[in-house]
Amino acid sequence: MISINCRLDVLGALDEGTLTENLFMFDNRRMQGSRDEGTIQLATAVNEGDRILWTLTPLEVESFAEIAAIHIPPEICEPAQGYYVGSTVSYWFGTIKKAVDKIHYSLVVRLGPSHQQLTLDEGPSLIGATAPATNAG
Amino acid sequence: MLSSISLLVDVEAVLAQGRLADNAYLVDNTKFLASGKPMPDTTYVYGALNADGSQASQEIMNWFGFGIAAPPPNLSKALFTHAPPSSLAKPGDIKRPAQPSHRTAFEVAGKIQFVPIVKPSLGEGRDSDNEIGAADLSPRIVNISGPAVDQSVIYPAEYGGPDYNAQYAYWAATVDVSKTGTYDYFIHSLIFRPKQASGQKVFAGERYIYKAQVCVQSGVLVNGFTYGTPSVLPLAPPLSRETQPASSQQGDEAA
Repeated sequence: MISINCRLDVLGALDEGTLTENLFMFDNRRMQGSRDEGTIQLATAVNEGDRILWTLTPLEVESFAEIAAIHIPPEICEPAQGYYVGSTVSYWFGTIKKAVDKIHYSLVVRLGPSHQQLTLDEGPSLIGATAPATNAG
Repeated sequence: MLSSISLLVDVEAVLAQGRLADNAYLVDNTKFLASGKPMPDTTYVYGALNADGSQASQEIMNWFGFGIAAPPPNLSKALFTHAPPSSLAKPGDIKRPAQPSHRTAFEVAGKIQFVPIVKPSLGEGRDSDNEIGAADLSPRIVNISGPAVDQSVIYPAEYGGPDYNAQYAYWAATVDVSKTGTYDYFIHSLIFRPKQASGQKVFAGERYIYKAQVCVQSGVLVNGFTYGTPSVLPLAPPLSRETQPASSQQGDEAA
């Protein structure tokens, strides 16, 4: 499974009113061609049939943030929100329906005590993988 | 200010390539303190001032190690069934793990030890399997060393996490903010490689070291708790109506 792991400086995002420079995105597909790890331009290498798990964790453990929505053209992937069983920790999950060359997607984040929403438009993307995934067990 | 420093590791890539380089990333919440473009792998620290203008120690750095594909750290390692939100949890609320017999073997000092880790479930038929794999295990930070420690700029130690339900340990350090400058330090972490031993899968820790820096600056943090005033120690009491300038009081009376 592909993991896209987002880390957010919640206080920075609330102070500046933007996710830019405050959101750090990583995945476990660099060896398959992913680029720009740690940035909002993360390009994740995918193949048709790959399953993707998006999670978001605040850098400051006392603060709140979660992904509120992910917008990808539905013919490519239709992510849906879920919760780890027995918890209130959410994730987003989707399956790649067909191979892509490069396609951007948008991320909406809910954060802070008032659940303010901030949107990252056209930042991260999905790109065609150069190699299949490996599994170290 | 608390600096939250996360070492994120693509565990499977590290195990495949035998190195952290290009497979580990350091992020924190201090980039806004940098004067100019932040340097990579650098945590920025501002000080607090004593009343005489000298720097006072008021900064704390926290380190956490995470696997990029590991379950979120705010989940319990042994996820309890029907647990209330962690903020509401009480010891009496804890249920037994759904699979108490599910134990993961680790090789420690040549001996096998079992740890009751249950892989958190995504539910809704989305799990690949329920067996713990290398990618599910976050790196464990085991030491902080280097010039920043040797020169007594930071004083690191390992602590237990405050949320008992999460069951994690983390490293933290106070900072001597009088020692301005940029200092190197090293994060030592164990990454767990699966192997076969005694007919079962056993995880053995491999030590990797990540080089980072701390930049102690002479500036003083502006503290929201003191009504946006600089962090001068001892903290001055906030202005009250009685202590406002005379001109302001006169204006109020005129209104």
